[in-house]
Amino acid sequence: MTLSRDEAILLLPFLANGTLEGEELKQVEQAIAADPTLQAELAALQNIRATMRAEQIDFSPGEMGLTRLMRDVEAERKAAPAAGAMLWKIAAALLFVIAIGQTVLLTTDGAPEAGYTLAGGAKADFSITVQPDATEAELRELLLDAGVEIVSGPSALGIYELALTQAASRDSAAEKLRTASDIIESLEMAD
Amino acid sequence: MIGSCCILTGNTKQAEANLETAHTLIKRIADGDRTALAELYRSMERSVYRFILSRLNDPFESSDILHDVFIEVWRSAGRFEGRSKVQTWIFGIAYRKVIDRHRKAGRTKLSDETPEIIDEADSAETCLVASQDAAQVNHCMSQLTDEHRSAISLAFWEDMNYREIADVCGTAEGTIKTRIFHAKKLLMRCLSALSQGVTT
Repeated sequence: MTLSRDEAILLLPFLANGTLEGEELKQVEQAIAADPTLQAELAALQNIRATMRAEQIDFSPGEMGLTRLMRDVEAERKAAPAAGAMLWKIAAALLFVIAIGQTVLLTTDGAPEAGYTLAGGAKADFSITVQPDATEAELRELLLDAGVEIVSGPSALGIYELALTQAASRDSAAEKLRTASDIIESLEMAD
Repeated sequence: MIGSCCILTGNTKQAEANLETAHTLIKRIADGDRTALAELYRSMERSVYRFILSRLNDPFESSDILHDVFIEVWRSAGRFEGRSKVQTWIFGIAYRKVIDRHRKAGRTKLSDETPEIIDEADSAETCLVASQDAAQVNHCMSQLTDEHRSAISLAFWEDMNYREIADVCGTAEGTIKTRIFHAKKLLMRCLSALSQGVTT
């Protein structure tokens, strides 16, 4: 197969930069051998290429750019484990919520007066957030001891609303929740 | 450390011999080796920066894009499959980042128009003198569209073949051949006009 003149013209810049190989190279060289116009064009292209390559850029980011790059890469590398840990915390919180939900379901026999009622309209006495590493068993034990039950939550911010059971005293429950700082992260009393 | 001028540039036999080295560097970067990233940066920084600068004509913006390119290399090295040369992969990232920057800035293409008074048949001969003048070549390059300028830059600065340029620009080989053909014609006509004292 022989290249047409038009095809050869398309490949002239690649003859000028020396990237043509094999049969393609041979055919383009043959095409220009007998064509003064193509020879002139090739010479012009070689000139343009040589002129472009001879010119040096005055400035490049160099070592300053490398310092900036390394700084950002290091920051990213440090942030990556933290992001991983955050994912684990979120996953643990979700598991915790599921465990609470299952406990509620298992301890409810259907009668409104037995166990947690989770009535959306129940008035809350306390708002709490829970330590990320607290277990469901620890929280359950504390809430039973303090005489409170979860009436809503967790919210998107991880806040649970607690209400006193009939037998419990508000001050006593508050004291027990407040002192259990290894389980309760924050406590607020409702008005 | 690998020499800073030629590890990944050009299509010389030396560059081919260094291909495996470049792929090894990328593997090391994928494994979190920052010294490998520094080595790659030192070997390619100037040529990638020159390519970006030729398209943006803004040193500060070009420095930022260069930084973004190597951050992406750091993040994506694990996804480099080795089907292309490391050089074309990195220039491809730079090519796309400049396009993104143009889009964000709402920049429009520069006009392809050049003076029509020059006979095409005479262009090659009449532009010979101007083609040796860096200022005139730079001026005519600046008149090209970004696509044309990119293709010529990759062909003449980086000595890429048309397959590699197509790879960088994410387009067909035939498109690159015709793109460079048109860019070349516009360049020659512009240089011819300058040789004959016509203001472009």
